[in-house]
Amino acid sequence: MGAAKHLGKVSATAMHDMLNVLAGIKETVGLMEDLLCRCKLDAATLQARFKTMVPAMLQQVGKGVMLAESLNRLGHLVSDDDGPADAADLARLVAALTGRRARMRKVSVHVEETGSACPASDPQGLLSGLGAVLDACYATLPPATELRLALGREDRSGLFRLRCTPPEAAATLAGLDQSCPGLPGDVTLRRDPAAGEWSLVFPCAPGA
Amino acid sequence: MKKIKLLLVDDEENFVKTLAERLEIRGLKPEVVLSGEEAMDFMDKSVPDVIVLDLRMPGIDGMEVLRRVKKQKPDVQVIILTGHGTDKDQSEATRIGAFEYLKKPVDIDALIFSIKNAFQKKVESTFVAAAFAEAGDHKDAEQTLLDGGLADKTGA
Repeated sequence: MGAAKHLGKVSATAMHDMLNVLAGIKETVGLMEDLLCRCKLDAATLQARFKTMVPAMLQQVGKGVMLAESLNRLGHLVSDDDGPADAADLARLVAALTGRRARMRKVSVHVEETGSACPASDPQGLLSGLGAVLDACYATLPPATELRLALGREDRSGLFRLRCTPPEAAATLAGLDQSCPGLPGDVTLRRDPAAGEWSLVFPCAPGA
Repeated sequence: MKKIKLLLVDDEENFVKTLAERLEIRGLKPEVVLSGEEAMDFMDKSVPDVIVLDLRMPGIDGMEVLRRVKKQKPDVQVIILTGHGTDKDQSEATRIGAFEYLKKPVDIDALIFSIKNAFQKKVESTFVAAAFAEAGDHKDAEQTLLDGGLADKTGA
C-alpha cells in the first residue's frame, strides 16, 4: 500500500466519524423540532428535555470541530511543503483522525514525549507510516489495550517505540512488519529482539 | 397495517436513541441494541420484521450480522444505515440480501418510507413462502424466503 493510500484510509476513517457526528446532530435537531411541533408538551417539560439535549449536541459539535480541524491540518501537511514538522504533533494528529477505529477495537492511543524537539524531515512520510502502523495495531491488538507511542531520538533519526499495557498485548504485534509493507520513504519498522518491542523510525531534520 | 416489529442496531448510542424516539413520535415502536452481539441475542428471543443496521461496530460488525440474519431468518428485511458508504460495502450488502443501503445522515421520512417498504416485502415473502409450503413445494418456499420476496414466482 502506497503513502497516498495510507493517508486516504486515515481521511476516510475520519470522515466516517464526521458523518456519525453529523447524523447525531441531525437527529437531535430533528427531535427538538418534533417536540416543538408534533408533541403537545408544556413549557416546563419542553425546557427540561431541551436542557438535556443541548449539552449532547454541543459535545457532538465539539467532536466535529476537532475532526474538521484535524482533517484541515492533514490536508495542509500533505499539500504544502513547509518543511519539518513536530513528530509528536503528527502522531497526535493521526491518533485523533483514526480515533473511531481505535474505539471500535477498544484500544486507546497515547503519545509520550521526551521533552526535546523531534522535527520529522518528511512529515508526509511519517503521517503515512503512522497511519499504516496504527491501522495494523488496531486490527491486531486485543480489546482494552493501551498503546503508547513513546517518542525518542537516535542521532539523526527519530523513533516511536510501540509500548503496550498490558505488556503481553505486544506479543500480538509479532508480525507487524508483514501487516504494513511498503512504508514510505525512509520510514521503517525495527524490532528490538530483547525487548520484543517495535519502533517506527523516521528521519529527523538536520541540526534538530 | 400490522404493527411493525422494528430493531435498530447502532453503536452510536446518542444517535440511535434519538432516532428511536423520533420514530416513536411517528407511531413506530422500535427496539434498540448497541452492538452486533446484542442484535444476535435479540434474534434468539424475538424475530423482528425489519432491522435497521449500522455496518461498522465493535465486535460482530454489521455485515456479519446481516449474513447471520439472512442465513437464520431470510424473510427478515435488513436496511443498512451507515456513515461508511463505500461502493464495495454496498455491493456486498446487496449481494447478501440487504433490502436497502442508506447513508447517514438520513432523512427521517426517507427512512420510514424504506422501513414500510421493507415490511411490505417481508409480509409478501412470508405469505408466498407459506403458500408454496402449503402446496408441498418446500424448495420453492425456501427459495422465496432467500429471495426475500415474490421474485418471479407470483407472475408465473
